Amino acid sequence: MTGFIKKYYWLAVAGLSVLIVCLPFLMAGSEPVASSSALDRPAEFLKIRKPHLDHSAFFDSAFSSGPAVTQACLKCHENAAHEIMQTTHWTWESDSLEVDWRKGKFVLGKKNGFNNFCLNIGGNWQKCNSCHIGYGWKDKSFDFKNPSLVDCLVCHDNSGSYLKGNAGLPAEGSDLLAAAKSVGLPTRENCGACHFNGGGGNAVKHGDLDQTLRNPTEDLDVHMGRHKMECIDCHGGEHHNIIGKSMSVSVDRNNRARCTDCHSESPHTVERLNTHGKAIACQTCHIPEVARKEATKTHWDWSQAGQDREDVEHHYMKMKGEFIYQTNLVPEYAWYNETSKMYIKGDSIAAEGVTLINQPLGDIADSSAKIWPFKVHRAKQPYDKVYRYLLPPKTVDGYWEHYDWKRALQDGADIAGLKFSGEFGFAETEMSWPLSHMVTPKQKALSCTDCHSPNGRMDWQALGYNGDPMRTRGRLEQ
Amino acid sequence: MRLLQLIIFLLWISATFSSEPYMHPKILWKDSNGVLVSGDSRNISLKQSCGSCHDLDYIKGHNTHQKYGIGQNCLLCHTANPSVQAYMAGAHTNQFEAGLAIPPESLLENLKITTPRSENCGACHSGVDYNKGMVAGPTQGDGRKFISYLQSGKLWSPEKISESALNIVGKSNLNHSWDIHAERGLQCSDCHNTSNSPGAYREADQSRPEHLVRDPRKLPIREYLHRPDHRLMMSDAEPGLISDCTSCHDQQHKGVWSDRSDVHFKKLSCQACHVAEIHSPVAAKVSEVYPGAEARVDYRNLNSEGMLEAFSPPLLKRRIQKNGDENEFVWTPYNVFTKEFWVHGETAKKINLYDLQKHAAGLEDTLQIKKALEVAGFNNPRIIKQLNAVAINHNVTVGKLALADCAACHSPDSRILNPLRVSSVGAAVPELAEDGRIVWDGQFMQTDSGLVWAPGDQGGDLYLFGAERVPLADLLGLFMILAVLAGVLVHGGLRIYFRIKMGPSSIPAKRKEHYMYGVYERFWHWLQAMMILILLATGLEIHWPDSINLFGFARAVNVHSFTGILLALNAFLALFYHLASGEIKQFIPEPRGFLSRVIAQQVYYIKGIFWVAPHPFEKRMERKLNPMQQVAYLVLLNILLPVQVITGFMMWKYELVAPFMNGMGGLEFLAAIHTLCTWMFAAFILMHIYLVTTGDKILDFMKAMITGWEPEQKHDDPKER
Repeated sequence: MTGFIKKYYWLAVAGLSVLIVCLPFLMAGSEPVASSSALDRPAEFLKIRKPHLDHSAFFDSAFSSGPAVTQACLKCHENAAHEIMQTTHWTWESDSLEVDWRKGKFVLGKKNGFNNFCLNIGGNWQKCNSCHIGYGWKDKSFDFKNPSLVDCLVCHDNSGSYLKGNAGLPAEGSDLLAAAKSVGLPTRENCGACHFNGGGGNAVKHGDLDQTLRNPTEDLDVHMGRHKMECIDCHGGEHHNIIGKSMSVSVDRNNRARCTDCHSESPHTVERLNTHGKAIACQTCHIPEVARKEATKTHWDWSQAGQDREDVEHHYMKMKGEFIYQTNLVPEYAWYNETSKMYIKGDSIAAEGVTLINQPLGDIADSSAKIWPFKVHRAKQPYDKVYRYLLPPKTVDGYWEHYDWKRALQDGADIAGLKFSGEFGFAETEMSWPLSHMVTPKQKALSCTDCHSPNGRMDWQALGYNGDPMRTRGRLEQ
Repeated sequence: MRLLQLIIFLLWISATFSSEPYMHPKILWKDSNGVLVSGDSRNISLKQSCGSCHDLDYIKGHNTHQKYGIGQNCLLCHTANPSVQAYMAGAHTNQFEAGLAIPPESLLENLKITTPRSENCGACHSGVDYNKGMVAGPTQGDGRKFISYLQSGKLWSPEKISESALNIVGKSNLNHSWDIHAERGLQCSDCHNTSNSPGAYREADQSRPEHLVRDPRKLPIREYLHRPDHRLMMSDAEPGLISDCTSCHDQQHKGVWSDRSDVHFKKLSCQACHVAEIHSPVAAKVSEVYPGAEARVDYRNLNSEGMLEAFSPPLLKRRIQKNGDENEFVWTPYNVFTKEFWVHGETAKKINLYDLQKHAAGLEDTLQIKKALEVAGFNNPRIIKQLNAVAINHNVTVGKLALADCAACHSPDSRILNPLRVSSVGAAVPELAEDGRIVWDGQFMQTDSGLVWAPGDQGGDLYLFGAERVPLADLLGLFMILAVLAGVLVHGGLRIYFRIKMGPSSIPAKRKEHYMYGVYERFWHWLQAMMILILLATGLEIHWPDSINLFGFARAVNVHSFTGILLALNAFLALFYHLASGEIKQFIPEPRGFLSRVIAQQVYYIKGIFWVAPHPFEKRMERKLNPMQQVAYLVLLNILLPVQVITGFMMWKYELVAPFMNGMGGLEFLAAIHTLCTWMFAAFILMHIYLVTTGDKILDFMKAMITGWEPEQKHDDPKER
């Protein structure tokens, strides 16, 4: 052993000298070490999915109907329909819950809710429910317990040969067999089939969701453009329960998809930008404008419907009234703590001014609230002059046939279980849509003077500040 | 439909404007007789109107803009959306006293008095673009306006360069704003504030007791508003009115000790690195000699395809006030350009483009223009050519885009030392429009490509590593290396020749081995050897960064400094070892008979070595060095090494020795000595490595220094006999 040491101790000495010589190099090395955290470099940690199992060999004969396809699916995926039937994609309603502004328990959701686009689905199921994830919801009698009515294809068809029509039934010309053979994970096309067309057409409703996102450039949406992300990359979830919330149908902050699911809470190299994150949603700077290519609807005046004027796309339709559409829409900004208030059937409209169909909650004093960008949709829609609540007209096979408001409102009120006095007017309403898509590359995000300048885009006083917080005081100091 | 849109638009507009509260009390507009101005056409008097609250005499006496004649028009700077053309018409008259005819009654009612905004400044100072619009070229304004933009390329705008309307090479990658301060929402008046504004008041660290964060005893707002000192804070203002980067930024917290930030902060202005490149058009020559709507401009950074290239501003020496010392300098970016224009009269008053256009429109010949001007009543019109230098203080980039490229200065292409093409202006060197702060250390030269500013040798003040060298030191060193190389080649060649001639070696394959070098000796030897090689390599890169690229300049400098310190440390420890162990004796020649021993060794190298004669001295562990080695190491360890370490250290911390060294050739002198010693070291190493091969077998000595055991050498030691 000592012989061994004697023979090789010089190696240790040599190693020591090399170490000493390396010291200056180590000390002089100033390259910052790249963070290994996925939160700091989310693009490098994007989920890579295995190719979906090829289903083309499983089916060989044509399907007679949508439910027939579903039954075939359920032979292997026994739980799938059951899972879907627990989700709001199927029920179109929330759990029964208490709200702050009215006594009692209420079931919210698309099924019972009001909006200021097509107003209400009651009585209009034929058309509205072409986006329901089931087959044949055309009236109140729809069987929500029947698993074979679940539409698997609308989300899983990867062939592009499937389309839904009235009451959610396969549209004429859909190739059910080709669709069944092609099934895979939902793509932007699948989700977009409904969500890009909310409000009855491309880009109408959201402003930040439209057909251009099927194949966007990176300038339009950095996630879907540069990184080719699919909707389900952010709106994942298990057992068919998709993550995500829309303020048009929900009021709570559960089960939300957030930027911070992938990104760090303080992702900027500049300290000031990170402190901005305490009062400002990421979206506020990173979504400078929406409806960047396709115009979105910002105003809808139902009171002008029924006139024998020429229909002009994006401006007037006899069936629906007057519209304003805008491209490159600059959002409006409001405090939002991710909970909201919502107009519930039977609520009184505002005594004066505008009735808010939904309203982001939070203000400058609420530390959980941040300034968010919203698309605000303003409308004039029918209400009962005596009972002072909004009325849901029956439009499909109703007003759009006979153009008689009284009759349509009476029919609608009957279906909704509301009393109608016979006297109606048109109330001004507003609906807010928080924006989270069309995230622009960081170079094109807002910079300081977009907000902090005499002609900046924030209305500081409306937000509760004394003035521009850069010049006066921010929330942290107050 | 349209109406609805209009209403919404108007609502939006009113909402936007209501966000800025209007503070100024209602003004009673009066005429010069103090009578309230009503619907008739009487002029308003600022003295009677503004002067009823503000001390206009004080403002008049304390006013940066006074000399330009506009200092007496309150409304020009203090109203939103100033109508410059309208106000300029009467700009040169004494407006405080006389009436101001412009605003009609309806306008007066709505006139909002504000703090000057960037728009107000931008109305005259071109290149100020507060809104994020598309920044276009400088030729859009009228002839008077755009010069201040071109003379330094100043574009004070929050707009990203990539979004601008200018044609710039590589624009799409320039995803940063024209000026970071504009981007971050500053207004001109945030830096160029009135000098007694209590809002901008910040007590100097020197006068503020350490326990105080803020002294509340400021000028009360009421008194300030009565007598606002309109001398605006500027970087080149008189002492007490200076605002520069350090007015807001604390440079103490920047940089680490290893990056030489101390030296750079002392020698360079902030702008030197933070105005790295200018992408807007910059003038080389501005000519207002020919009539026209605009001046004629030669651009510095416009290429043949009409695209703007990045202009890397040269650094000129600028006198600064620092701790009361008038003679401090920094190198800071400038644009140097020539101006030519007509003047008249004994006072050489400038004839502006408007007058030129009015009296000499269409003329291209200067003689004809001169005649036309004379006819128009100008006395002795003549052209003045002027050389101007404008300090570049705007176009500041965000920190991460600041100049972090050592080669910008430390290379032959140095921003400090490189000649600058000033202008293509005619033969004579124009007169210098003096900026009292520039130290013109160098000379102007006429070359084929025009007038060139050639920075002089900055003497001991500056030795820019990588950009400057002392040719004599390099020449001597190179000669030394070549001489040693030649000697080694001749000597080695002869040895090989004789070995071949003599046939097979007479040295037995198996020889007795003596333990020659202890562990520690070998350890420090090899450590020193490696460090010297690293120092040579990094030193060469610092010396010639453009042709040698091993580690990168910054890394080379740091590695060189650290390794130098380690080498000195290792040498010191070795000295301690040799002293403590008594081994030092080996290095000290015994005086008696020393000369004859040296001769014996020389004779061996000249003759004996070729036929493998016995070494004249026996090499033993307690007496390893032959007489010539003793001499060599005596010189190396007592002269060369200390000189190298000491000059190296002095250059590393030059600030410490500057007062002492400045009279002795300064940094340049140190560098010359250091370079020369480097060559000597290199020559020594060459020789040293060659002599390692002079054992009986070529690798004998090498083996000894690695394993410690040396095969016995044939020797003919007189001491043994």
